[in-house]
Amino acid sequence: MPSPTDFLRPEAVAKLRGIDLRARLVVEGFLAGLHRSPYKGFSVEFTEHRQYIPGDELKRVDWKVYGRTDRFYIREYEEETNLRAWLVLDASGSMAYTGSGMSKLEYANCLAASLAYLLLHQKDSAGLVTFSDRIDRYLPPRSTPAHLHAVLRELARVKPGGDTDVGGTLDALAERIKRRGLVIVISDLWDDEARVLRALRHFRHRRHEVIVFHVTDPVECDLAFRGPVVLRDLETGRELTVDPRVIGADYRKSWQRRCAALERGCAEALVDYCRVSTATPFDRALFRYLERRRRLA
Amino acid sequence: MNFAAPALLPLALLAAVPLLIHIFSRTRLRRHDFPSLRLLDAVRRERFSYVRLKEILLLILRTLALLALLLVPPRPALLARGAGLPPGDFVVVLDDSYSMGWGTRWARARDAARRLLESAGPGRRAGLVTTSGSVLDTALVDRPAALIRRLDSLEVSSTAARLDSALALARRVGGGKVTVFAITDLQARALPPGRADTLAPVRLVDVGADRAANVAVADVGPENRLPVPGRAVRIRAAFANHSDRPITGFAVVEVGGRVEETALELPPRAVTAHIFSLALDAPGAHPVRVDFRSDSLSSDDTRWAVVTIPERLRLLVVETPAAPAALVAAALGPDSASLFSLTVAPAGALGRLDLRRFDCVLVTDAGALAPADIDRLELALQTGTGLLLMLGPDTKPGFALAPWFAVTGLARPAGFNTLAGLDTLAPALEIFRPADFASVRFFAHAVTRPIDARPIATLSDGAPLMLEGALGRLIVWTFTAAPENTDLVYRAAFVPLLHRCLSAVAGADLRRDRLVGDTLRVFSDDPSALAVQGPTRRGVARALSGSGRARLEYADTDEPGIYTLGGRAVAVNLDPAEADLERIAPADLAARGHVVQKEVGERALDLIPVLLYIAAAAFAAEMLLLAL
Repeated sequence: MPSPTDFLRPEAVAKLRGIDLRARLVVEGFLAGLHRSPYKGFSVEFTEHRQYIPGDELKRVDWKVYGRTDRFYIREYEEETNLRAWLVLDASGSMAYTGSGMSKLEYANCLAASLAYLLLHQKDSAGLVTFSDRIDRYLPPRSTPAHLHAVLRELARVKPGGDTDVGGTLDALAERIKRRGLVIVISDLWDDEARVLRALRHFRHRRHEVIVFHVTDPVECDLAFRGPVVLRDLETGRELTVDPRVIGADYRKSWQRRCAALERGCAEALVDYCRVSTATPFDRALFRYLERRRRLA
Repeated sequence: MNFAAPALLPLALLAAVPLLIHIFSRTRLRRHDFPSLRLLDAVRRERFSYVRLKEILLLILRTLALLALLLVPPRPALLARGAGLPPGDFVVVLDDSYSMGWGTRWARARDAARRLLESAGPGRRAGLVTTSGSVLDTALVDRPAALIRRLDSLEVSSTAARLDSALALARRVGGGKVTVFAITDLQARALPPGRADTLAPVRLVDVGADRAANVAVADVGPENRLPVPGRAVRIRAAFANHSDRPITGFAVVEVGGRVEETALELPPRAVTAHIFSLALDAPGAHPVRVDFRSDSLSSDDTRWAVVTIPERLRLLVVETPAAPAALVAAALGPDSASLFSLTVAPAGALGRLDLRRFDCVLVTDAGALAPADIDRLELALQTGTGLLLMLGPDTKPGFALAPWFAVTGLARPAGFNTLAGLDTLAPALEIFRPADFASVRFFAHAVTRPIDARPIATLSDGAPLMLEGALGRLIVWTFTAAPENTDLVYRAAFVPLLHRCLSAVAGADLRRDRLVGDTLRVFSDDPSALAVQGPTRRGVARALSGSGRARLEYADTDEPGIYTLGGRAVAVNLDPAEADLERIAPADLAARGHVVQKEVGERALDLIPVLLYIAAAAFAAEMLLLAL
């Protein structure tokens, strides 16, 4: 079983340290803006110690505790935040696909972990929802630093399986989430595009800001197999014999059309759509996206 | 469908290879997980039927092309048995003379015979005859299996038989109401002369339609026609080139373990003589073999001979006052080179001589002998002594040597007679040609009536000049060797004629050219030595009954080579005339009324071109389909 820290890589954390995830849209009662902790120069209430994790700023290390215990602990402060974010992670069977290197779920976990760290680091609250054909786990958003561990633990426990019902599940989640916030959907979106877009518009209707990370694998994009093969659906178990030499071109066209339809639909609904590939290191993909978002902001 | 090479038919099973590859490649397809088949289902629904159809079509085309190509080696053909044949009973006359050994003629002939025999059945009986006489099944059968088995065991013979006797036999079968098919190479000499018998036409099946450039060893013998003791003799061979182009090859002679090889260029349509330098000088019989290998008809590329350098023969010359022996004695040669150990005696001394001490007796004027001397000579003949009798001009009509001949008169024409006929098959005359006697004149001769003797030379007045009887031990000249009776005594042919006649009656093995099928007859000093050693097998001779020197007879000479019987070596060869493979011209065939049978028992449609077209079309269609 993966450990919680498997998804929060030091190199990713180091990259993300200077980055923040800003909500572009106006959240009710608050302006979008920096949610950086004002702890420097401000007096805020100490809340707790938490164990040091690589990447934390050394100036936050409580050296007195180290002197007593020979262990590193970070002083945590309670902060107010304007942003509540939900990391909505697709854990259906199709996310178990490993075309090359990392599985989509592992990739998604890394993305979610990094985003959770980013949000909590900037004192926003982050929650985690995992789903397949229904909501499997719901971790309400919290802003405490210790909440990161809870998120990471949940990520480590996620096992892919079951069918996909992105549209239906997101619809149900949209009904469940009362307070306005940021919804980050990390999924391979293997569902009917119309249903997916309708669910995303449902979030928008409830005035949430939505970011969609469409996780893909190069093999599923290109059908890059040599010669005829038997393909087994990871969700239904059904097998199909295909000859990529014969239908590859048509498949790729259909794939492009589908992605274009999703992108277009998301753009029309003011949903931020980012397609990421497991062939690209997740930190690079995330960094690129956040830079683009920062420039646009 | 029939297959000319059915042994190659299992190759067609390889046509299943594309199907097996198709099946096994499917079962060995790699399996992969895939996130979702949703999109693939949509795409495949559009493309499935076309792709599947294309796959199936490609498989069919590849299998078809491969099957078509693999069916070519067995050489299939669609056959219609009995096509083109007249109804009713038939007899197949198969020419198995040795010329049929050229190229693939024999195989084609057997194939044609088989197809004809296979068309037999109820209401259509068949018979089989060969020209060599190896098969003489005169019974017609409607189940030809036994005939076909017999046919399959046949090989080309060593004979040079013509079709005449076989055709006659075939016509006699079935009371003349049969169709006769003659399978032959249409060699010009094979067909009977004259027009075809319109009442019993023969259908000729031609299996000789291929160019033949045949060379044969036509003759082998000593370089001079009369080898004598003490004089070395070289071997002479004649090579016949029956083709239209010069042929170069190596002539090889082998005798007594010695071999000589020489290169020869033979001009077209000519007989070329060559004398080898290898010489023989020891008395006795020397088996000789000459080879000239140059073509596919190998049976006539070898010829054998037994060159005999004779020992001296004991000769008694009985002279009369009217016919002294001086001329004859001079011709026979008193020196050591002479073949004969000569004794001359007057006729009256015959009663005091033991004629059994002599190999042969020459009587210069038999007509002048007393009856008792005639009796003595008859007795000597019976005990094995050879006789050469000359009949002088004073021979009385009625003179006879029973049962061989009788004298009926005397001929003394105003001018002279000349030689009209010469039987060169007679051993004594084998080395002569009519030209040797072209200008010889005969002024007087006895007129004889042959009884058991046969003429071996005839005069221009029709009377016999020379007679041969008693199985070659008696030769009669109807003239005496005197200048007043003939100027032969002054001609070059006289001495060799005298030598040959005396050697023949003395039983010397003079005849060089025995042919396959001839009966060998030799004198033997040991009548119990009946074993015969042939070229490849042994046999047993038959001893002819009678008193005197034993004579052995052996008739099983069906293969060429050296036969040894009674202590003598005899060469048996192929008839050199059969080596000329010249075919009768089609126009001549038609002019003589012969019918050539074009279809033999089966009408065959060769399927090879059809299969090749199918394979080409299948390949073209496959390439077109792949390009789509």
